[in-house]
Amino acid sequence: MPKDLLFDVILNEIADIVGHEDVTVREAERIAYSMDVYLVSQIWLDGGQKPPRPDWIVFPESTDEISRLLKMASRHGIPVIPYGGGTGSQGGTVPLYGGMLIDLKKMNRIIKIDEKSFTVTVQPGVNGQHLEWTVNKKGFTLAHYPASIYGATVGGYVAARGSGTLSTKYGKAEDMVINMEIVLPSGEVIRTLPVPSHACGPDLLQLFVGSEGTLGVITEITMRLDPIPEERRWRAYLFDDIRKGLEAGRRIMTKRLRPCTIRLYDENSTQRIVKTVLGLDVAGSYMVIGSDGDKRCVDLEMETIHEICTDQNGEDLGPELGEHWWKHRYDFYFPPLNLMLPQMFGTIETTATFDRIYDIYTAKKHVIEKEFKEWGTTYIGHFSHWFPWGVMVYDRFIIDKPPQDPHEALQLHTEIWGKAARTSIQHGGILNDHHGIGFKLGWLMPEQYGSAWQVLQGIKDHLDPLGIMNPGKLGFSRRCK
Amino acid sequence: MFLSDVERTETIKACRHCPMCNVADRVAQLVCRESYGPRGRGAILFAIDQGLLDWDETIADIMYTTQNDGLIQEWCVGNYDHEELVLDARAKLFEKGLAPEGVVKFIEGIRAGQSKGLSPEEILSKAKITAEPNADILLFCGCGPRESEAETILETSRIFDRVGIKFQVLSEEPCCGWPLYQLGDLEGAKEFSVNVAKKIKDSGASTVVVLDADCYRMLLTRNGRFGGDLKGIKVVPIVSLLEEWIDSGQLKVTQKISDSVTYHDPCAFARYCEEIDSPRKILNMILDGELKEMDRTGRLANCCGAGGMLPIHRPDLANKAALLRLEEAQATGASILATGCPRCQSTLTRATSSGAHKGLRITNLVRLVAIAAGLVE
Ligand SMILES: Cc1cc2nc3c(=O)[nH]c(=O)nc-3n(C[C@H](O)[C@H](O)[C@H](O)COP(=O)(O)OP(=O)(O)OC[C@H]3O[C@@H](n4cnc5c(N)ncnc54)[C@H](O)[C@@H]3O)c2cc1C
Ligand code: SF4
Repeated sequence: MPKDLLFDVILNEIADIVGHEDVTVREAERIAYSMDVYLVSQIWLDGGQKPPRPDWIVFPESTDEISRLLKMASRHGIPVIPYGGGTGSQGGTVPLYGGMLIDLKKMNRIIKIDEKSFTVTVQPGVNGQHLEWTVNKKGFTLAHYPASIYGATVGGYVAARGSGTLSTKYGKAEDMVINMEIVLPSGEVIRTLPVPSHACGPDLLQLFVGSEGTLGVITEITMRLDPIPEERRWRAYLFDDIRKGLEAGRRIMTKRLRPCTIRLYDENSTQRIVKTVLGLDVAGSYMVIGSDGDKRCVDLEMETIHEICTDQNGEDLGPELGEHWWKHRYDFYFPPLNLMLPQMFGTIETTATFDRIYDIYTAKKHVIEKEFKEWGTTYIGHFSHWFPWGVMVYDRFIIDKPPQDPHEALQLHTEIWGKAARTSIQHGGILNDHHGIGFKLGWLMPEQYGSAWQVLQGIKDHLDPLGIMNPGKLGFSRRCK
Repeated sequence: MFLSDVERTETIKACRHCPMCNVADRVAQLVCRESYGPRGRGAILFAIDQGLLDWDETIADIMYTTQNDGLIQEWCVGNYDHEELVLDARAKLFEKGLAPEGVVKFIEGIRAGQSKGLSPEEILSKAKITAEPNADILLFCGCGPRESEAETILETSRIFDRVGIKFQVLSEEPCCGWPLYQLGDLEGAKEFSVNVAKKIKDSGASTVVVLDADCYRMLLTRNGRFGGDLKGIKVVPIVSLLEEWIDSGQLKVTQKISDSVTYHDPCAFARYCEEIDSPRKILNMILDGELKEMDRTGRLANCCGAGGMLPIHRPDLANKAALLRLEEAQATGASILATGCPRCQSTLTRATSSGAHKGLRITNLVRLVAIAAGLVE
């Protein structure tokens, strides 16, 4: 069958499922759906080339429609790309091989707020901020505040194992999810166990958390809620250097305190970001720390935190700078305060145990600043998302004047990423903490997992033998023709 | 027209990869398509500039399917004027003959002077009210009120009468050009701006009191830039006069309003002209109880659905947006939703026709003042 005819055949089959109104093949829309916020498609567009575009963009409204769409896709062997808010930074929604992009934003119902169990059940396309506003009215919070909250969806939170500013206390998306409904590539609909804690074998729920659309489409999610805290208090400290700040953070966490946020900026970020956004011109390492909950607990926690920080020579900058940071925490991500093309940049964050994190930080700083010196590369980082055993470093490389040619730019970009990621892995870190893998890091997944990779690839092959789900992502071998 | 080339390019570059104000774009939230949100529009305009896309009907549909109500710019920390970027795109589409058919017809109607409304004089004469031809104050009613909210015009004139201040109206009040500006007919907007300014000047009035929020914004901030000459003429919205009169005792409150009231901020007043306090001060003076504020008020208020002339291209979406605003009003527990603009009033009233939001009455602030002053039952 000639391609044009096949294209039309598929279009009509899609329309039969969702209606003509809910499928588009218009070129302008295909361009709009050709990118998430991964720099590479943007470099392509800026270089005057069209990034890969979806052939069909579909807007289903129910699990049943998605099931039928996947059955149809399996029959034709066409790629399927789930799309939430498209705020992912790893190219997860970029339709590398074309195919059918499923935008889930029409599935945006808040199905149930269970005020007894403190849970909320939603369809995947609900906007993060919209959900937060809705549960706030009932005295709850999802307590998941990624900087992309205004655009991201709950499906995207879970599918990419995201994390928010309060994760140190409330956990990452994977800690908040209770159960899910998933449409498998075959079109079959499955449900995970009703609760996440059990001794009923391996964790089916967590298999799909972080699967980035490669194992199926998440169509319903129940998440934990928390009560809006009685009090949330902030304080800022200035440490002589990053080591002192790291030690203070480690002591706080290993004393098993549970601040909602510890955000420690390295000397470079303190100069660059804290100065621009907060207007604070100081040398050293700036830390903002927050505690929330019952007022009496907050009093006690803040008092202990203060002792630990001052013990590490931390200068108490008072509450105002902390509160100011909290109020303006998303400002950093709005243009023109964010990083934007023509600058080349990447968030190369990793997580490691306390004994390794400083070494990773210095090793990556060395690699980025020395090995790419000719490009005038800057390395900045802050430590947020703290765990009882370690911490994440949210580090970035920035090149103010990268190559203009998109092919050369991509080559440099890949080299930096390869070096940065391998340095993390070699020093006991991981490829990514909370942005996910997409196609940005997919090629490094077999290296990250070593011989364990066959387990994940085996699961993928079993669930998606035709390889229709989000091909080219998460490092899975491509089977789809 | 209102963005320089540099501003336009910078805005496109900022928006094309930025998802940060998606939640502030109510129509994008209703349409549920990336291509119909700020980032999608930015990416599409960028692709056009890059020579990767041509202007076409799809792009026209996208650019006309938005409320363009100023909330996006308000939300944007970088203060990019995304709304004006959309208007720039609309102007290009209109010029190329690609604007949607309904939009073109509507523009032709306005240009041909087809207004369904009566003239201000006709409206006033029906209620046996006569304006004073050479008065120093000119009441600019606006097409919207003349078409569907004539009561507001009458109530305003009764209030003028009570305060003892004479006013005149334009016998053949022209359109201020606002709809043309919003729909991309910039030439038309220029012609109408010049024309309306001339008529106002010729009237000899030194103050223009405006009923409709969009007309107010147009006369205050856009008329001059479109070539109209209103130099030396003071343009004020009716709400600030009402506030002044009640506050000074020129207009006596004889019966405070006992119903529970919430207030909808018209976008053009609150976001574009900083008219946020006057309505609240008025309500404080005429209500028995406290004003019940909605979650989103003032500069962050959601649009009634009429922003950006959305009802012309997508009345269905405008109605959905209005229904959402009604829900927000209803959540306050108020029985009256007052607004400062007749256009918002009719958009919200139309949306109540579905039968939802029973128990919520939509009214104009002017009417509430007239009731409090004992002028209307
Ligand atoms: C300015 C900015 C700041 C950011 N800050 C943070 C931050 O603080 N914390 C953080 O964790 N992330 C952050 N991110 C990254 C991104 O926002 C998150 O990964 C977010 O969770 C993605 O959600 P989304 O709905 O946009 O997903 P998308 O980008 O649409 O999709 C992400 C991946 O998940 C898949 N997917 C989406 N929905 C489904 C579904 N229902 N079923 C199956 N697969 C699905 C997609 O195929 C894709 O592979 C930021 C991004 C930006 C642009
Ligand atoms: S208006 Fe501002 S927040 Fe919205 S897309 Fe543009 S740059 Fe981003």
